Amino acid sequence: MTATQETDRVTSPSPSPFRKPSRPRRLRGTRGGRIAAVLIVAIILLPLVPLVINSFARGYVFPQLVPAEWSIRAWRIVLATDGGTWEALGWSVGVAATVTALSLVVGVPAGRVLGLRSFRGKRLLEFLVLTPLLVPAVAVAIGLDITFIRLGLSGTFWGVVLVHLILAAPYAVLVLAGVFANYDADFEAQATTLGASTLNVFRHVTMPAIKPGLIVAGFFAFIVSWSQYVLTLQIGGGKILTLPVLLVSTANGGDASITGALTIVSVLPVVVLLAVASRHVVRAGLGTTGT
Amino acid sequence: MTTRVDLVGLTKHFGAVHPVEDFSLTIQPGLVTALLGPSGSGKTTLLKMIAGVLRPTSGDIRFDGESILDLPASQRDAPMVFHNALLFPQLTAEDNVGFGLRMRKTPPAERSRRVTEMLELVGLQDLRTRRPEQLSGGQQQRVALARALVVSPRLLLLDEPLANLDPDLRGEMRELLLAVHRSLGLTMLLVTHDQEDAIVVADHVALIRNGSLVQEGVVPDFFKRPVSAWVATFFGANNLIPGERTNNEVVTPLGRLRVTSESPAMGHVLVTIRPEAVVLDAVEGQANTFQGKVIAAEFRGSHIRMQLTAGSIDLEANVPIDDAKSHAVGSTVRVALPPEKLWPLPAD
Repeated sequence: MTATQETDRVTSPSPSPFRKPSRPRRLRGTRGGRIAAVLIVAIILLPLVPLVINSFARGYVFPQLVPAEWSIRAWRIVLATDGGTWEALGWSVGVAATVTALSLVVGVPAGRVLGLRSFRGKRLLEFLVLTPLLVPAVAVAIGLDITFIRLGLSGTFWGVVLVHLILAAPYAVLVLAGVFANYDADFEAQATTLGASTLNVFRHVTMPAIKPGLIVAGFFAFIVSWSQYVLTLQIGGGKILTLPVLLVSTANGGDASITGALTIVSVLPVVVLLAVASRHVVRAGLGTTGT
Repeated sequence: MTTRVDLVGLTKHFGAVHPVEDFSLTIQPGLVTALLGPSGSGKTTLLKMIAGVLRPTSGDIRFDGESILDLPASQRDAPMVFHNALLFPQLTAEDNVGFGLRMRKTPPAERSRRVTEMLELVGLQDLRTRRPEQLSGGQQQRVALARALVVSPRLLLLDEPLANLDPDLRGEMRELLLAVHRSLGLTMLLVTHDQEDAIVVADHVALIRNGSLVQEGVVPDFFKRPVSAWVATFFGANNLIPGERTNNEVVTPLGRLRVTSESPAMGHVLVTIRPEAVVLDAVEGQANTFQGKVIAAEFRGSHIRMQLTAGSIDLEANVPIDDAKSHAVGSTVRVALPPEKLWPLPAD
């Protein structure tokens, strides 16, 4: 009855203490680990440095190493209440949060079936789940545009959410399939026979077990949606002005200071989110790939 | 607290796989019944159907005469203890034990009182605040037992709770199960593949093979009156002598053997005798004697297991250590098979 043992693991995340606790090997502390950590942080943060400089510069042109003049003009414009940034931030958060929630709603049952059960055609199904990630987003957007116009979804919030789901949901499904591949469903049977209702089984057994994976899956879904430009523009038709859409049009405007400030506004929420989620990313994802 | 359980024609099919087929058994109230069988015989499937985790394809399960098929697992009061303790890793030992009471919304004061009571019963009151990963395998299994007992079950289902423990812990856990049974008088169903578990712990044994009941009864029945050659060998009687029985006589390759047991098998039979009943120094005038040869002897702690051969028949005999000295390997012995110890079985 333990299908868990027979199934292939789709992705590697090993979760939770509901299986044998396999402690992530600590790289911290070793010298190589420290060098690697510094390098990784540098690679992520260095490109942001010119952006920060730019956002506070006035008339920053080529041979200058440091801007001749500093100013908070760009930040004033970007953070102005009527400047569109706040509205774009609102759209981005709204779309990404909705996409994240729906990805998890789809990902938990789908990941559970893929992770726990073995059945004919499972490999094919796993492949089909992945296909949206293999097709270029432009092709998807152009193809769907006509259908969405016909359905009245074009230029609407839900239209954009739906089209983001095409890319976000597969990540959630795959991460959660990996989580469930390491999950022992007998825990649920155990709780049931002790008197737990279906809801309580989910709350007290399933949720704690898959929580790290849920956070990782949600994080992926959020980032995929947050960074989406082509699909948002095509389906949103310029009405759903998320941060990337605003950013690209601002960048086309040619003001490097404003572009820099707006880019930082776009990146900051993800960095904060990553900082919050990283503990779980390590536990759920990297913990097993290293061993 | 003491519930009588009737399994009536229970059947479970998973597509073409039929792990349980038309299984009927009465589990007597207040007794420990062992469901004994080799692995893959359908024991766990049966247990999960009783617990309510699996729905039977057909048949009925009755607690005190009342069908509970439509009762969800959470309301059957028949908790399972699995072979791996399955403690909830985020909860301490005492919170694990209290889980069922929390689900039943038992007031905290009473919950704490009963949790303490159960932890004391299994001898773990000092480890109440430990987390599962800080407990040994045996301790985890005790917490799992306490967690099931705390809800005052109508029926306690034990799925190989001893299987993952090393030998001395096994013995301890058997004792604990007996002690728990003595102090609570619960109806218990113990699933095991180990006849020793069944012999030590159970009042009543049901032997299952390929999803069907083969034989049930008290432990000595399986030694003295097995219903088939398979049952006999499962309980360690490997001596099977083919023959043709008429009344109290069986014609075998070893000659005519007299039998006095009340086995009903007639005609084509397999005569079985337990290895400890085989006599090696037959005296003058003893029935069923013949010449045999010792081909191997193996030290088994409390006795010597000897392999004998007589014509085309091989026999096993358990011989007291002192008696074995006079029968070296290769020597000839005068074997006797006491008529009252011979048990003819239908040859199928």
